[in-house]
Order: sequence, then structure tokens, then C-alpha cells
Amino acid sequence: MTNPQQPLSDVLYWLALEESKPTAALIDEYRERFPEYAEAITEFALELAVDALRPELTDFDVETVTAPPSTVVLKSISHFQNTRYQVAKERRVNDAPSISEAENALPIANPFSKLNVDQFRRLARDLDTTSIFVAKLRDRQIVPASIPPAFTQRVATKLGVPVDLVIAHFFAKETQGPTRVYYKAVDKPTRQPQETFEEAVRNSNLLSEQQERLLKH
Amino acid sequence: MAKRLTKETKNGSTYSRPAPVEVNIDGAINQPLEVIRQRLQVVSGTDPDFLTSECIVHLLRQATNAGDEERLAVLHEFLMRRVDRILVSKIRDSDMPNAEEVRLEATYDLDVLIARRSADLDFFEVRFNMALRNLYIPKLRNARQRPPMIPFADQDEDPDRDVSLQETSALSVDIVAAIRSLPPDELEAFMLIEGGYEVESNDPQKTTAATICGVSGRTIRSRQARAKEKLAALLKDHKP
Repeated sequence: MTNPQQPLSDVLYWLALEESKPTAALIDEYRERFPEYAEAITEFALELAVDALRPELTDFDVETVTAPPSTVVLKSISHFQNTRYQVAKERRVNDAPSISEAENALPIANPFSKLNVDQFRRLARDLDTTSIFVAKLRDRQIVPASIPPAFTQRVATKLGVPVDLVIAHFFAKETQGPTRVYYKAVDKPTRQPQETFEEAVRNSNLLSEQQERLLKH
Repeated sequence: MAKRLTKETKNGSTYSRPAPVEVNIDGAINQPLEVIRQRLQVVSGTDPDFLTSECIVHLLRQATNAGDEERLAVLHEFLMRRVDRILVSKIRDSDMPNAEEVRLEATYDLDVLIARRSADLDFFEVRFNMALRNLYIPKLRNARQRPPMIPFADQDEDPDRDVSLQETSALSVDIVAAIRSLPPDELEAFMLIEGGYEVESNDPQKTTAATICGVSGRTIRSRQARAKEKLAALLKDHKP
């Protein structure tokens, strides 16, 4: 037996997945079974009946898979990445450790730290950027909220790590700089304030075409 | 073997995927991304390499759980290409001025289900196209809050012209746009009668179009007549 508190969305999914298109008998069955949703069931069933007047697509044309993605598809890709980013952020907030736990917690792994010089340069090339720009990503020199999710996704893909890890790295607290380093300059270098993504793009020796491509994200 | 679904049917049993979907998933589940990419290029449903949309949803869920970003990105794009194609066939620009917006909103809803790993995706692994209707139909209803696009004829024109769904289904798709553009009360009366409900009954226990709409039988007849008149005017316009 079904739960009397069955959510309306489940009931409407059941109706949509019925083998036959909505008839008076079917609508009556649902209305009697879920009287609290009677109005919504009727409205939805009528829409299903109108919808059934248009044939169902069973095959796709070649254009579906070869043509450049439509505006709707492009927007959906971007929206999907934004939503995943949001979900990851919510998860971090919900799973946030207490202050004492945070103090004892291990630092978040830097996904760039495993790269050797050649891999680092190759990553810069793959991202259509410069080593300076990638160094800013590595060193969290960019305001994380200003980094477009689509770009974060690309970084994760090129690094071969989950996007959540890259997001966590960008949002992690700034790490301490190297301690046993001697500097020729009189003053020890201080950490620069973070730049926005756009500022970082503008200030990383990128060609103007590269800048444009990056800012399109 | 694919993980079992958890959503229940209206009878309390657990949903199961149709056998061809299970076979499709079993064949694809461990294939490398390059092979999946090639299979996503297959567009004919009769080709054995064709990946059903139900199977793509399963692979997407698997990639999400595994954190396989590259696989996820490829599968998502191809699924959305299909969704866009389906929605263009179901919600045409002639239906309403903001048809693309409606299509986009429905697509966004599916994005959210995938990103949030919603259990509702079980329905999409059973009958994808059918489940997709649960996303776009509510958007269609909301979008209907606008003046009719189609200039209807005067109500006294051709009043005896009878229109049925059997007739309209064989005609231009613009008829569907016309039905969708009917005011809600007329659409409701028209579709209830077409769906087999009696207008009214002497039996107070019987469910009729009048009891569903909470109005008299006379009002139902009047709404139905107005709907038919509008559709008749359109049929006349579309006759060769």
C-alpha cells in the first residue's frame, strides 16, 4: 500500500508514467485514491492529454548530436555547473567542522601541488592561459567567488580531479608561505591581496584574445 | 548489473526498468568514455549501439557518484541535446511567445535533479520521455498566464462546426497550439468531455465534468461550445 502522505510530485510522476493516456476512468481512479490532490491531478491529466496529441520522439536526427549546441543546451551546461557548485557549497556549510575541529583539521590538498614544471606549463597551455595565471590559481590569489564555475570545471577536468576538490582549494584559507626561504630583497615578500578573476586575467601577461576567451566563461 | 531503483509505484512495489533499458545499461556501464562518446553519436533507436535516454540518466548518476567530471560533462551535454530536441517538438514557438523560456526552465529543473542526485531520477530511468513531462507541463501552465496569441473568430461564426480531438490530431500541429491557448476553464471543459466525462448526471455520487469543475452542467456546455467555436475557426483557417 502507498503512504497516505505520498508527495504530490510522486503521484504526478505515476500518472505520467501510466501506459495509457489519461481517460476519465484513470483520472477518477487517481482522484479517488488521492482526494487531497484531486484538482492538481485533473489539471495535470488534461495537460497530458493535450501533450499526447503531439507524437513522441523515438529517434533523433544527426543534427541533434553534431550541430553546435543550441542556446538552451549551452545555458543548461552552465546552469548545471552552477548548481553543482552550489550543492558543493551547501554540503561544505552543512559539514562545516566546529572551530576546534577546524583548528586540528588537515589543510585541504592543493590539487596543483603534485604538478612538476612540465605538467604545470602544460596545464597553462591546456587552459589557454599563462603560467603566471595558473600560479595565481595555485596560490589562491583570485577571489574564489569571482571564478566562473565553467572555468573551475575546466580546471578540474584538466587536472583530472573532482571539481569539488578544486572548489574546496579555491575557497580554502590562505596557507602560510614557505618558512625556510632566504630573500635577497631587504623586505620579506608579503601576501598580495586577492584579485578578482577579471583582474587576474588582465594582469597575467595574457594575449588580448586569450583574455577575451577567458572572460567569456 | 545496474543498481536497483528505490522509487515505489502507486501500488507500493518498487519500480523496475524495462528489460531493454537494463540490457542497454549493462552493456554500457563499464565502457570507457571514448566508447560512450561514439555510442552517443548513434541517433537511431533501432541501432544496437544506441544509448537510450534512460541509460544515459543511469550513467550520469553513476558518474556523479564517482566524481568522474569528464564523463559527467560529456553525458550531460548529450542528454541535454536530446532534451532540447524533445522539448522543441513538444513546445513549439507557435504555442506561446515565451516557448524557449519554458523549454529552458524545464531543462534547468532536470539539471537540478541531476546535480542534487534526486531520487526522482528513478522515474527517468523507467520512461524518460514520460517523466520529462512532469518538468515541462507545470511550466506550460504557468506560461499560459498571457493573452491568446491566435486571433479567434467571432463567437457566432460557424457555431455548428463540431470539433473533436480525433479530428484535430490528424491536422496541423497549430491545432495543439490553439488548444493550449484556450482559457483554462474552456480547455478544462473541452478536455474533460473529450476524455469521456459526462457533462452532468442526476446521480449525485457520479463524477462528471460539472462536479470536477464545481459549476453547473449548463456552464460546462457553454465553455465547451466556446472552445469548439474557437477551434472550429482555426480549422477553417487551416483547411487547404
